[in-house]
Amino acid sequence: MSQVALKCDGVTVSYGALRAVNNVSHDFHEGRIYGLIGPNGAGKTTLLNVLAGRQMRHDGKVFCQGQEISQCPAYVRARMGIGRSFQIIKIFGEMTVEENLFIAAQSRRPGFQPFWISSSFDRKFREQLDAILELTGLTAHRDEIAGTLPYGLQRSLELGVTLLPDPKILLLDEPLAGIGHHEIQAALELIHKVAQGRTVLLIEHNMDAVMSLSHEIVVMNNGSVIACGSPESIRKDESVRSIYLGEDAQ
Amino acid sequence: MLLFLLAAGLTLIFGMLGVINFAHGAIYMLGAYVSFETGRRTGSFLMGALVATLVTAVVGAVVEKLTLRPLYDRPHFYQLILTFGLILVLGDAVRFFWGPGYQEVPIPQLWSGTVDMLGSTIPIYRLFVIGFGAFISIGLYLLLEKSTFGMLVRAASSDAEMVRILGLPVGTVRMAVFAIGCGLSGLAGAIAAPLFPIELGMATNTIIDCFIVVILGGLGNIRGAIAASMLIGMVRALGYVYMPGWVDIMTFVLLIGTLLTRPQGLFHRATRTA
Amino acid sequence: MKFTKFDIYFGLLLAAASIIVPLLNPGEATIQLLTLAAIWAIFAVGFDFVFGSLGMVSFGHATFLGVGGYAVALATQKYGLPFYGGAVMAIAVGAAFALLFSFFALRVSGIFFALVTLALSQLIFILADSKLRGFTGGSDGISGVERPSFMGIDFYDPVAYYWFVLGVYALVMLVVISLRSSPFGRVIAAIRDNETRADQLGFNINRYKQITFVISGALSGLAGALLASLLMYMNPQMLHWTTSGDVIIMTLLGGSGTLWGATVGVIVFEFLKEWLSSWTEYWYGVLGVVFILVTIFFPRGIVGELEKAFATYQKNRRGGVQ
Repeated sequence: MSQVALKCDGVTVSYGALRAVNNVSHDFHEGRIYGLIGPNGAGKTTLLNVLAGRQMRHDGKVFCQGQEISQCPAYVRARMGIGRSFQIIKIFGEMTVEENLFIAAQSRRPGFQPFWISSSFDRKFREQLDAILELTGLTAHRDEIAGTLPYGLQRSLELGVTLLPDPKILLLDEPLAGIGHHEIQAALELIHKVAQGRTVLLIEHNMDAVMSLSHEIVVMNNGSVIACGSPESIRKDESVRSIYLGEDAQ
Repeated sequence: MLLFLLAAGLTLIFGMLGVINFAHGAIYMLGAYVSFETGRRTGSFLMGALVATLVTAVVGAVVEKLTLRPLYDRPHFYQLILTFGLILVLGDAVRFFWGPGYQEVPIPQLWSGTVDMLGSTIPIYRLFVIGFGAFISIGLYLLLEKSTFGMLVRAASSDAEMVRILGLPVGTVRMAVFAIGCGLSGLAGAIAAPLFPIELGMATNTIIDCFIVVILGGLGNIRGAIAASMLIGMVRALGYVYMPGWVDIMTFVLLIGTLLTRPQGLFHRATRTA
Repeated sequence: MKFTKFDIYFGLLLAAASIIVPLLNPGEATIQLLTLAAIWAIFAVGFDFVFGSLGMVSFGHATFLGVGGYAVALATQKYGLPFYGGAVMAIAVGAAFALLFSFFALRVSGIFFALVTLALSQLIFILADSKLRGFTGGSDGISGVERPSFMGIDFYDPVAYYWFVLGVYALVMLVVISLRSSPFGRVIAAIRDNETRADQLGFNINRYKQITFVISGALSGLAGALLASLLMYMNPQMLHWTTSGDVIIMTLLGGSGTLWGATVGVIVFEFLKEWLSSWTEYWYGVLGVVFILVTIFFPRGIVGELEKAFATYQKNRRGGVQ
């Protein structure tokens, strides 16, 4: 039985009378890929925000490798090995691809001293940087300004920046959003490759993609988890089918 | 109450336009000087107040159209800094017309003298100021909550794009709001003129007080502004009696405390108040 | 932050001008003006460190300038320290006040940040003017602030003091340049570019902002010390919020966020002021108009627009090679 990498316990996020996330508890085991699905407004991104540390106002607890992190701000969680990509791409638009990745690398420097970089660190991270460039197919674009890249490449950079610090836990919020039909396969392969050896929680609306990638599916609706299990069992689950009624059931 | 008149304009401008008008104190000063000049030439305080209000409203409209409008798409601080630049311009403009010394406006005959009330002697003019302030606040409330114009203003402040799509004149509404805000400030200046010597320092001295009231009351909250100006008035009055040297310091501490703990104001309500 | 050819050319130009002009023997008034400009340039560069790189509008910088001035005034007058002791204290005090302000101001953002710094600054001003009168001399101020002394050079000679100030300015620019190109500078640029992403990558945003603010305060304190020494006098006016407003105007005029913008803004402001006041006493108002026009039509400021023009010119020159 593998370790529990990430765990939430009784997490509730309320905005006045509205419960965006309603008493959600789940164990996310090491090395497994979890697909988080549900209709719009189900609370998926809010839950992700709670896990990533962007939503600090909530009831319930969050644990990482057994340690409680409920009150840890996002940057602390990042340093603990939680990486997160955003639905709306957040890269450093005014810097080049290489600079983007270098900032990501810099975040992993031990201690706080920010005024110079030792040359050994420099070398080590340049290797990792080149590896990520290779992995995301951005080597040819390393000197281009990130904001000028076509959308698909920006998505790749978003993933690259998230990956470079080598997080053990990956929280991906709609990593395939906006990707053109013919590029989806390549993107899926990339995510699959990247997920090896990591714990991944993935929000996606593309059902085929999420079913093919995930070990386990978690279904949310109106803030609560209404079902979870293997992709096959979820596909057959009546309650899940009914909440998707009227939407494109794939 | 005087503070309220000043603050009402400022909070209106911020609430509806999102602009913090640093030059508000300068407009107030302009109003005072214009009322002085008009009063001197016509002998009528009423005329002075009227002309002051009109002139400052027009200045406000012009400023909005020419200088603020081009900046609406830019980050907020550009407008902020621009209004600071305005202080410089208005300050020297006033100095150009009236020189650097100070002027005095006599209390109008009608409201001069004092009356004995509640155990103390109160100048009638002060009562007038309070009453006038109340009258204005009711008027503003009616304007913003009950009139079509008010509805337009409130719509434009929450979703300008939508209002524009509906074919309604967002630009004109903005200009009108700014003009009204400035006019109120100019009127405050005219009303204040008999109470204090009119001089150039008014521009920068009053703006801080204005901010205090507006922040405490909640940016954009007119009712809050009333409550806050009364609160400040009381704090000041008590302070002058018991701890005279500390009044200013106390008000600042109150301001800083509010900014940090309840930046939406002490009198904020969940629903939007005009 | 990268440095472009423009930065180098412009810097050389500035260096040349600042060295050549005083050698032309222009008279004490001009030397005084140049010295004042150099001091305000240090202040503006300090201010822009926070404004230009992080977009935080602080209306509190007058405080850091002022306490620096008071530090050196008190150090030399009341405690008998030489100028250097006072200057070091000024830097420390400027930094300390900046740290203090940051505890409050960084809790809020946007317009509230500006207002908190304004309120704190005005509070300090009131205190200096009234309650702390024994300390500060109230509105009468402290006179007789000393000039530095070493190697037997008489720094009461305006030209000598100018060279000293220019030296300090050069040192300040060196510090700023190395900070900007350091990893620290890169993180600041990242925070400006996309704060959420920087946060999610593991950078303690608040700490970085605080450090930036403290450095900014230290530089402003240094400027304050130099200013008090130039005027040989110190009073609370330096602490008034309109001083903060002035430095904001100068910085925007010159071009915030650029390497030389703050300096250019100061030079243009001071020289415009000199020139305008020779034919009208309403120069402040005219400057206000100029500033308003620049804000509307040249939002990047003088240096910013020049940089853009230079970049376009370079791109066109390369033209067909793409």
